[in-house]
Formats: sequence, C-alpha cells, structure tokens
Amino acid sequence: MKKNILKLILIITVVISFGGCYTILWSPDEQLPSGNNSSENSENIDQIYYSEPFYGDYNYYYGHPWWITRHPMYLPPTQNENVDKGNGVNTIRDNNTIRNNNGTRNTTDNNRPIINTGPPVKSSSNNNNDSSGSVSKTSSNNNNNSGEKTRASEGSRTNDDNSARNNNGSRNSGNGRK
Amino acid sequence: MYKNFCSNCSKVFAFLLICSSFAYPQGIPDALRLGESGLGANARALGMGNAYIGLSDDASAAYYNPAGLGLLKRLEFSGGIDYSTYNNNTTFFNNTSDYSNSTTRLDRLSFAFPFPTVRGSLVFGISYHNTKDFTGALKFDGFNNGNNSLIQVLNEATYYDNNGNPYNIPYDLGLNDSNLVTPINGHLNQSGTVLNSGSTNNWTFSGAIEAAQNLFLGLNLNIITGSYNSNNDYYEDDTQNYYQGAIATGESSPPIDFQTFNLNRVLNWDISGWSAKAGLMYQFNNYGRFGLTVQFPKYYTVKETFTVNGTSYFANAQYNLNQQDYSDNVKYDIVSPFEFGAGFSINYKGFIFSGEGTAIDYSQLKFDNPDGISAQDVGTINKDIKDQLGAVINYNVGVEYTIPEVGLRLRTGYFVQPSAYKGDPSSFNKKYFTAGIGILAQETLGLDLAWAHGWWSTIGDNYASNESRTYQDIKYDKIMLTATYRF
Repeated sequence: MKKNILKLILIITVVISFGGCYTILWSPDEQLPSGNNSSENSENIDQIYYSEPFYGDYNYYYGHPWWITRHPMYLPPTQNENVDKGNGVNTIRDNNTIRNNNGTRNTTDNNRPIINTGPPVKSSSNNNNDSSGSVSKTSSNNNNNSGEKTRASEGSRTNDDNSARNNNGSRNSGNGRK
Repeated sequence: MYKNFCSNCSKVFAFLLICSSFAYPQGIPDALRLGESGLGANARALGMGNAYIGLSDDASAAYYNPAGLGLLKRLEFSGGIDYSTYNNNTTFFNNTSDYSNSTTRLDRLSFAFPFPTVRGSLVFGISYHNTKDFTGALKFDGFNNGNNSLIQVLNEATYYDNNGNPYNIPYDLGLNDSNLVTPINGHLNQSGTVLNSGSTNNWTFSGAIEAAQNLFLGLNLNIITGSYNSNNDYYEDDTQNYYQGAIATGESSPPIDFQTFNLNRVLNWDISGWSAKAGLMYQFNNYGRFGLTVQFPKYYTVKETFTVNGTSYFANAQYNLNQQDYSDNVKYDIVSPFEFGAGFSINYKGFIFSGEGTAIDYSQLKFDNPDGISAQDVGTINKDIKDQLGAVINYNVGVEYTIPEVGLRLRTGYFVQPSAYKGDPSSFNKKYFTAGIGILAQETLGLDLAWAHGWWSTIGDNYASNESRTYQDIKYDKIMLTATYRF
C-alpha cells in the first residue's frame, strides 16, 4: 500500500513537473491583477459553481478574489432609466424625479421618451448669428463622437479492557472480550 | 504496601510475577480512543453529514481535504464553539441506569490566506481545531449472582515495584489472608460510575495549489495536543450478607462481616503528537467536485498517570489503600493506521449533494515505544488488536439547498462509523443524523449552525469477559456554531 501511495505521489509530481505549474503568482513589480485578466479560469469556474441565480450573494462570497477591486453592478438601461455619463456609475433615475424646465417635478409626462441628441456642432464659418437661436455648431475639429450615450466603465461583477472492551477506559483484568 | 507477607512467599511471587503484567494493562479501548474518527469542527460540514472531502471550500478544508483550500479566493477568519451531550442508558443484570455528561468548548480558530495570482490558486492556512471529543458517562447498578467479582480478579494480580516489593490490593484492604486466599466468591452487588472528558486538538499548517486547471493539491501538517481524563468509581457490596464471618483467618484480629469494597481509578493522559494529510480536489466546472485524501498515520505520545484509591468496609474495620502504592506513570506511543478518503459533490440548481467514504483498517493500530511497560506487554496488546479489530469504511452523505433571495442555506446529512471490532452487530455502528442552517450577511459574514444526533450500542466489562458486563445504549448530541468572515 505504501508503495502504491509513493507511486501516486511520484506520478503527480512528474505530471506537474513536465506540464509546469498551472498557477502563476502575481509579483509586486507587476500591476495588481484586475478584473479581466486575473485568475482567468479558477475564478470564473468558482463563480459559476456558486452561480448567482441559484446562490445569490454566495456567488460573491466564494468567487470574488480579494485582490481584485469590485466594480459596481452593471445594469443595462431601460426606457425608464437615465444614465449619468460623467462618472461611469449607473445612475438610475425614476421618471418621477426628473425635473422639468420649470425646476419642478414632472408628474404628468412620465412616459416621455428620452431623446438622445448628438454633440454640439461648431460651424467653422463662425457666422452663426442665427436669430433662430439654434445651438447647432459645426467644426472641422469635430471628434468622431457619435453622440450616443456610452458608459465610462463597463465593469461589473461578471468579471470578477486489555483485550477486553472495558467500561469506558477503565483498566480491567485483561481477560475480557475476545 | 503489603502489611505482612507469608514465609513461603517466594513461591507465591513466582506465580504472581506471571500475572503481574495483567493488573492494569493498556488495551484496545485506549488505542481506539485515539484511532477512531472524530466529528470535525465546521458547522456547515457537520450539517451535511461531514460529507466534505468533495466540497471543502473554506478554511476548515485544512482538516477535511487540504486541497479544498485552493478554492478560496478571499481571506478568511473563522471559528466556532460547540456543545455536546453524551447520554448512556445502561442495562446491568436487568437493572437500567441513565447517566450523562456534557461539555462546551471552543472548537476552531482558522485563518486562510490566498495569494494574489494571475492564474490558478495558491492558498495557505493555519488552524487550531478540535478533532476528537472524549466526553462520556456510564452508570450501572445490579446484583451479580455469579461466582466472580473484581476482588477475586485483583486477588490473582500482584504488582511489583522496581525494588521487587509486592503489592496486592485485596491484601492491603483486608480481603484475603496472608496466603492470598479470600473467601469472597461473587454474589455481590456491583455498581459504579465512569465519567470521561477531554479532547484532542490540532494545530494545522496547510497549503494548496492549483496544479493544473481545476486540479487542486493540498497538504497539511498537524501538531496534536490533547488530554483525556477518566474517573472510574466502582463498588462491590455484600447486600445479601453472604460474608458475615472473618475474612483473613489466622490473623490476630481479623476483619469480620465484609460490607463494601470501593476502588476509584483515575486515568489522566497528556497527549501530544503529529500527523499529515494530503488531498486532491478536481472541479468539474459547475457540475461538481471530486476529492481524494490520504491521512498518514498519526503518531500520538501518551504520558499516562494512573491513580488508584481503594477502601474496604467491615463491621469492625475499615482499610484504605496507600495511593502511592498503586498509582503509576508510564509513557507510550499509539500509532493510527492510514485513512483513505474519497468524496464528491454535485451541484444542481441550488442543491449540493455530497457523499464520501473513508477506509480505515483498525487492525493496524499499534502501541509503540513503551516506557514503563514491558515490550512483552505491548506485543500482547498489539496482537489482541490484530485479532479483534478489522477494516471498516465510514460513509457520509449530505445535501444543502440555498435560498438565494434571502441568503439562507438548509442542510441535512447522515453518516455511519462502523464498529472497529470484528463481528460486532450493526447496532454497534455509530450512526449520526445531522441538520443545519446557514445565513450570510453583507456578503462577508457567514453564520452556520448544526445539530448532530448520534446513536449506537456498545458493551463494557468491569473485569474478565462477560462476567460483569454493561450493555449500553448511547445517545450523543452536538450543537455547533461556526462564524466565518471573508474579506
């Protein structure tokens, strides 16, 4: 039996030696691993093992490495959501909190669709003294900004008795249970 | 100490020398006490019937399957306490008695540290945990109508000290004459209590690495500490007035009308030792896990203190043993056998089903390195172990269901630890039903509570074989609370 165990240990050692160790440690002179590139396999597997639909918060409890910063939860925008582009954090605004032009709550037009407007365009002619008050400007330096709303960060959790039997040990005469 | 001894004592000595080694020998129960499996120290595992070899993914993996440590991704502090009760319903010559004992103890403190990795996993852990609970109790009271008694057994056993001075308990208690002849011939009421306590605990240093994708290897090294205490208080009473006359005939003022013989034996162990365990864990994506463990032999060193007090009561006298004469200090090793474990867990929609088996050949238990005990005695005990103990397979099953909306986990399990004695009926197997509950707060603090109820039968002899036997029905309950903080 002991020989078999030694053989097993030897086989495992040889397999690991030839294949190289799978684990790669982070070294201090490297940037600390972040969401997408660290522990690419084991982390994902563990998160899948305690998948969120069936294990809820245990998914994070078991699956998220401590050395990876946890990103905010990603929630796709819906028609009832507005998105703050500035800091990349998903800011959900209930329609009831949208202020109207008068600075008061809009309580009458809750289902009004959000209109995505393009970026201001600056005109190169600089002759936009349009009495119509149009804010449209065009510029040759215009960036290729499509004007679509985008998120600054897409980070989300998905990336992350002698011989006898005596009475309880007392010593007996030694002629016990055979 | 012998008070007076006969003129022809040399012949008696020659005979008794043969018997002396059987006076208070170590035995199979001592080896089994350390050799048998414990209940661990993790409420989640206990709630799932300790079927944890194929699941271990917390700091307690250091005990169940060191490879499971490799599954940790966050630092973990964990620990817990437990409360155990041991109830013994004993039948002794048609009389039944109930007796119980209980204990509360801190059962674990663990810390696990996963190193940051770019790929794979490397985790180290340190843990102090309880591995075995020696809490026990026994009470018996009944009239033995046979022609036997402990007095008679002790009358045939004489102990010699290093200077060759003989010691004989019945003689020192006035229960035989100078020729070591006693009129006591059974027909006594026998009663007593036994209270056991103590535990073994491990300081465990463990590590695990992901050696190939999804394949984890782990190893632990254990420093064992512990203690055991047994207090055995035994009485033989002449309740039916069989012995009204003089006991030690020929003496000038012999005691008459024997009434009571009491022997109190206290056994104390100071336990130390070491052991190692290797483990393997393979994770099949989200479907389940498979684990293997090899528990290498545990090397226990036992420093034993055995203290004996005795008293006899007669109508006209009372005798007391000199405690120094019959107390003893010895030292020896007990080596446990290899243990091979295999387990799995299956993950299905919030359910985790787990099972495992552990093979142990108890006939490989052995005493070793005696100090204060003759090598011949140790050889005899080891032969008895070979003859009377056999190989068993412990098996454990458990299930856990998580209610994700509230972070609540419900568990239940069942496991069996078969009797190590060859030929024992199945009622002698230790059977446990377990249940548990767990909650998670703030995604970092886990609390788990488990309850285990065990039941089995066993027997015990006060002396000899089946002459003064207790038939015991044991009920054992343990409540365990474990707190885990991950950050």
